[in-house]
Amino acid sequence: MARRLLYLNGVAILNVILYHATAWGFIAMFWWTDRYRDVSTPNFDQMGSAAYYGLRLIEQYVIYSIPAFLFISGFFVAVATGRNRETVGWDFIFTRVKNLLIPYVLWSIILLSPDWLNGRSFGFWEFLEILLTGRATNAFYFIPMLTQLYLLSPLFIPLIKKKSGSVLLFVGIFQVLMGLLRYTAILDLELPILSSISFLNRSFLFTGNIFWFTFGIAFGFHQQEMRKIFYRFRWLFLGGSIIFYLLGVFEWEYLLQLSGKHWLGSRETLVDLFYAACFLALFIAMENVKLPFQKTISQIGARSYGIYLSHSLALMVAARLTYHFAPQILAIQWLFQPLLWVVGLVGPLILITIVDRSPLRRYYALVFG
Amino acid sequence: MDRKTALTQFIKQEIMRNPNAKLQENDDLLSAGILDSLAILQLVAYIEESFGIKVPDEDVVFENFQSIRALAQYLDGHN
Repeated sequence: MARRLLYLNGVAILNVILYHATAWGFIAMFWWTDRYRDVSTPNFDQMGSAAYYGLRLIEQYVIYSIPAFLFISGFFVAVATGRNRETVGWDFIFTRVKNLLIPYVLWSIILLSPDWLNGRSFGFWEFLEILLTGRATNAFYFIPMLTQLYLLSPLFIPLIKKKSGSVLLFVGIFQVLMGLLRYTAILDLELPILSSISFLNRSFLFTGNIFWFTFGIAFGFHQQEMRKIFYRFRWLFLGGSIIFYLLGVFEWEYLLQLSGKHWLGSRETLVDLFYAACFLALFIAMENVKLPFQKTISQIGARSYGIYLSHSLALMVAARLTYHFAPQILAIQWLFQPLLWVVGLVGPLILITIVDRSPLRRYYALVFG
Repeated sequence: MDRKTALTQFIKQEIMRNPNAKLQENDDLLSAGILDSLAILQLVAYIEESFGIKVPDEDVVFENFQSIRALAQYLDGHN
């Protein structure tokens, strides 16, 4: 299983690139339409087209990726705790957080520097807020959230060790409630009774994703029992994965219609939560199934944090260069998307390889974690 | 090359990315931040490929991966 988790990490980082490439795809489709058609923007004529649904199917498929990262991180915390200790050591947690945050701060500065070069100034408190909320780029909310989970883990590990089932049930119910609360944000419903707790669903807060990390820790402590249970229900998880995947596609279209808007920014729904849970359980249950491209994807998995930090920049450069120099490609998603995927993966890998094979190697951990 | 030396070399080369790094066999690999989640998974893959020893999931724990010495002792017990 340990080696399969490295593979899962590789699949998850490839999915993250796909996900952010689809975001640029939607921008090209609706906000940059005037670059290849004689229309004013935003223009939603392509809503409901084959290209639109193609992007939506990809976006929906990759939903389990962030849960997978959190699951693996939780699993590792369980490994670092061991069999005999009551909880994980604070020294381990602080070192882990330090190794996450140093490259994160560096890449946040890199991503903010174009704005800074264009004359925008950042005060200390604003910069701190950007770091704490992961606003340097869309993908970065994950790092403050993971940091919070690491910092909290020594406190709740003893409980998970003793009462895994109860903790998972409690956290699972909490996550479902958070999922329900998210619908009010998606649909812009202003319910006074919920206004005081709506902040709990902010993407950078641990509350929105605590289940996956807890699930990983519990799995780390009770692997054998959980694997047996998941194996018994493998067909149920396979069916659940397919049904919730398709349901998620239809649900989003329904929510869009219900909102009365042309466009809704992507948010995870309750159906997505069930889809991710079924998919992860299925991955654990299908332990004996041979995985394709295991070595290559595992190698990518081993570099996932570096790719995660740098892929946004690569995608942004590729999308903007296309916008300026080859705008006709923006109209052809079957060409634009593979272009973004390749640049989003190969760009970071080249950068990682350059650092790894040069005298800069000693600074690798500071740059890519 | 004995296992301890091979493990030390692998950790220095592939995980610390510094062949000249100072690494003692009793150094705490986890608390010092040398091994993170992915590095442990890489190390398991290396052990299985290079030494032909399958590391069961339940053995991927702090006690066995805390230091090079602990890891070598664990592997010696699985000959």
